[in-house]
Amino acid sequence: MSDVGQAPVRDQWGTKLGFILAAMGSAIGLGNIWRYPYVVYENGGGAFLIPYFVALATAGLPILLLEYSIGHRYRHGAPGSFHLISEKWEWLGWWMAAISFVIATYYVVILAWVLSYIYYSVGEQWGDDTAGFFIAEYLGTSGDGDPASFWTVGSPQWKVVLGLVLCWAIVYYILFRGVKRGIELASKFMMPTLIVLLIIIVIRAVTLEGASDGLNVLFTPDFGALADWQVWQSAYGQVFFSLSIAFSIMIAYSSYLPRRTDLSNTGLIVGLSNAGFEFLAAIGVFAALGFLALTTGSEVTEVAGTGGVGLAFIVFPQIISSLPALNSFFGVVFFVTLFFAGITSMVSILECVIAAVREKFDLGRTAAVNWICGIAGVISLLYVTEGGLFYLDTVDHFVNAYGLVVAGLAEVLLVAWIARELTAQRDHLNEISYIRMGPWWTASMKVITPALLTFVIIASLWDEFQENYSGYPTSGLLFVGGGGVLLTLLFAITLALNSRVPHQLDMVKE
Amino acid sequence: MDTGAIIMLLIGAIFLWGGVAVVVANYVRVSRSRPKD
Repeated sequence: MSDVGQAPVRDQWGTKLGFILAAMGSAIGLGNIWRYPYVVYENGGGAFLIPYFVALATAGLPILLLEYSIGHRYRHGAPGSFHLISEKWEWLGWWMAAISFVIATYYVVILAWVLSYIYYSVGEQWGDDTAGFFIAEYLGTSGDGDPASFWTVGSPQWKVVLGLVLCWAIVYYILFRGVKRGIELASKFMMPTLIVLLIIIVIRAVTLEGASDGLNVLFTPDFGALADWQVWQSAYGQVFFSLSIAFSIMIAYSSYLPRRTDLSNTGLIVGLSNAGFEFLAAIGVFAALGFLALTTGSEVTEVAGTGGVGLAFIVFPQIISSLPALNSFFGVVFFVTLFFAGITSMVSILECVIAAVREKFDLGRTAAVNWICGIAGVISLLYVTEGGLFYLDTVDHFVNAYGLVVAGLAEVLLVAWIARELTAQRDHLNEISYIRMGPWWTASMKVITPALLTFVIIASLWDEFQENYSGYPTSGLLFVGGGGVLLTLLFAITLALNSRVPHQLDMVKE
Repeated sequence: MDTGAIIMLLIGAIFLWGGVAVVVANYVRVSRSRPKD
């Protein structure tokens, strides 16, 4: 199907439920399953819930609602919306879109690993040495993961390429079908299924022997940790990353909503569901770790590792192999859960880029999807090489720590202090929403959020100069990590300098 | 499980899952009371 010759039209959600599920799908991603449980565990256990709730109320939900309001009020993607707020700030919208684009290039590779592991779960093909299987045999990482091999790019690993091609095909198809027939339809199927699958995993995990040991490690509160500023930094960082803030996704998604939509309540549903989901995932993960500790005769703290990729592809295969029955079944359930959580986030990450490009260059959906998926697909090949794991880890670290957080800070400063749009945005939210934003929202946007994001950035920079991230060479961190962030910024400024003005595509009901 | 861990688990569950239940119930109530577009 080609849209050549047709006037580009703006998509719209078919139902409010469709939007809520798609927004939940965007917020609920891999980090909810493999990052949040470890953030709780490492930052005071149950006591972490206090800074987490504070961060959710004073920064997470307020910024989420601000992004909803911006997109809904201006009915553009991020570059177009920021152009309407102030012409000089279109670059910020492009920077957010560029950051999302870079994240998509490696996020899809992790999904390819997950897809492969759905297959490997059948008969537990990873064997006894799950770390060796993942790092050396599957990824073929140079130097068996030794950071000194950072610059050994090597050749693409065909096992990973196969999964990557399949993932791109799925992502392309969903995006090609559009907002209503693609993203909304996929979310309506995947999100309820994802929640059911997670409940199955949690029920299995908490009924395993040793589960209570894992839950004790996770939830036993250490209130002394609340005096540590790093715990509060972690809480604000977790809330920020978990809600997909500053990706520009929520700006694009809310721009597809009908005029009369209760934004505040919708935002609270999405924000709280995301938090509730990761809380449930934490219970499942640590109950399973308690079981693994019991079967291996170790402490939970010894088997827990550091979360992230290691948890999903090294520790969980061990747990799956140790289960008393139905190992392959639970392996497939776990990795399908990860895949659904990831793929709904992946399409949202690219959709905000597609919306931005369409508005700026007056492109039809098919053309925009072809360009964006095509270029991202070529770049993603870098991460399936022998050095791919190093580059993925480095880019992920820098783009999250400096790209997203700085862009989020700039966004809040622009609206609250530079363009002084806060009252207009609050009035817009209150005009159409049942739950009204009061002084706490204004205070959060004007003072609390900018102050805390500045603090998070300074703390991240401080950590950066203490030691090289993951022991990688300085040249690698500067070139791949710092260079990557700089490139997104230069790219954003170049696009903003282009004289074409992002324009609103005609809104039609599908 | 230890008492402290159980209490924190319950606090998290009540605030987060209870919060979801409240906002969803509110959304359904408001949606039903509003005229269709």
